Amino acid sequence: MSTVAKHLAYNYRWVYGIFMSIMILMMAGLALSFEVFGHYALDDQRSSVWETVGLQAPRWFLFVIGIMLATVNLPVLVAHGITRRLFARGALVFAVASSAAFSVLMLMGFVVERAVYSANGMMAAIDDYPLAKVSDAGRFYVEITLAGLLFLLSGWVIGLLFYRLRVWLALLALPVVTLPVIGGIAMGVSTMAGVEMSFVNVVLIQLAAVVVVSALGYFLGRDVAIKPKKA
Amino acid sequence: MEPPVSLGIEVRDLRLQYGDVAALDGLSFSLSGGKIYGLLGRNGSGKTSLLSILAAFRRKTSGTVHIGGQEPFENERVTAEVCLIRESGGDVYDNTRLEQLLRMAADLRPAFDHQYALKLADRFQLPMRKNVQSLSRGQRSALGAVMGLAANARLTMFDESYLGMDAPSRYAFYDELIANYTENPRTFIISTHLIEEVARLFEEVLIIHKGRLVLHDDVEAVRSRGVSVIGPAEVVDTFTAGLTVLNGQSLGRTKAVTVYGTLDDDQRRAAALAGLELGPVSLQDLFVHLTGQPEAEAAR
Repeated sequence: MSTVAKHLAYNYRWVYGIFMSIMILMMAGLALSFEVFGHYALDDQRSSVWETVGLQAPRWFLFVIGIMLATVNLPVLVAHGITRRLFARGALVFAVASSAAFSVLMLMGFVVERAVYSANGMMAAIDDYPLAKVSDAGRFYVEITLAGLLFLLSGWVIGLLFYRLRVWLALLALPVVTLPVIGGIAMGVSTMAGVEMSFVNVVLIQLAAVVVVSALGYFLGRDVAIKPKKA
Repeated sequence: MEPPVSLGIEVRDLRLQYGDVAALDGLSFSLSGGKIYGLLGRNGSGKTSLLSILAAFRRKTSGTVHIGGQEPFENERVTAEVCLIRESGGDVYDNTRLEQLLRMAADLRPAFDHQYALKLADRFQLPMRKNVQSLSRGQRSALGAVMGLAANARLTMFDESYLGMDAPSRYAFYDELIANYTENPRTFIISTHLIEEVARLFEEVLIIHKGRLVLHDDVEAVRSRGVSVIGPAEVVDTFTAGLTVLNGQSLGRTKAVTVYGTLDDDQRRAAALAGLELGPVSLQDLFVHLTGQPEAEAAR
């Protein structure tokens, strides 16, 4: 692992640890409430609770981490003699590892929730459960990892936009920059929602979005000036 | 073969534009390295822009910059050897404890001397278990001094980074800088407005004004560009008539003036015969003269 990726992992170890602990607590809490209250815990909802709670929160967390990478970590590391290119490489490794790690928790949440629902005979009440079959877990994991990565990279690009440009210019550029991100995420979401598209096509589109967003990040960050801090 | 301990710098026709404003306007100079250089200039003269380009914090608009014979921007072999500490006390994480910051710096910079950093932190009485954001301005400046000196970078630059320190801390910093430089000679560039206080450190001085180089010379040569004349007021006035007087002060019947330009042997003899005392000029007086308007234009 590169110096930059190691540094970022060390730098975010507590934040990640705390957030992951909260996710695990949420997972345990949901499992417990379904065990205790059964059908009543679902109320009128006919979809996965974990999809709302456990799938969205980590993505937005990764999005914020992406912003922090651009606006907090990049200036400090460049000031410590690291080039922007080396930083981008290390940050990409860190981003993939982060997304992969959070996706394990997201997936585990679905596996636990599915087991609890099944044990309580609740699966029939759920429409389009995201993890349709346990055997789909591998494919599902790849899709949510790529979607998480897209969230993080979009945060990175948006952070760079606002770090680099005047606010109004950054706002103008925002729709263009987020287009591939939205596209890539939509792919993942739509397949989970039951829209027919082969796994390979979904992954290819998501990978293409990752490449486009990474390229945007590279072009925005390759010669960004490191601004002085306000005293 | 061991690399040279210091890095030389070549700057040719360097330009940096911020929109329509030229922060650096065709700046050229050459530093042999292995010395302590003073970088002087008024606010907005381009000092920080120049240092930012040397440290690869910012890309130049045009021109040539070579550090140790290589372009610094996005060149990891150069950036690893260069350290710039800015006025805010260095670019560090605000929400991190000082003890962690020093460990991080040691991980990121192979030459960083962690033990020395701890010793310096102790000397500047920095609270190692506190976060950076809870430090006073003076403590942040002291942190910058620690990070800069302990980085052991072959080109180390301080950009007004010790302004927040109180006088004892500033003098402690100057002493540590001299001790560090003596033990580990390398290239230092110090940008400052506290000219007289820091002047004793400098071996060479660069003065820039409106993005252009006004003067680059060793300190003694710079001081010899002017003369202070002290004596009875009427004698001083007679002697300096026709000379470029930078400033003057009177105390009773005694007057002291600073004259720009060198005196020839006849003038020195005449001054001695008239009972006038001649001395070196202060760097600050020369700086004020060279960067004042419209004299600065004439000096180019």
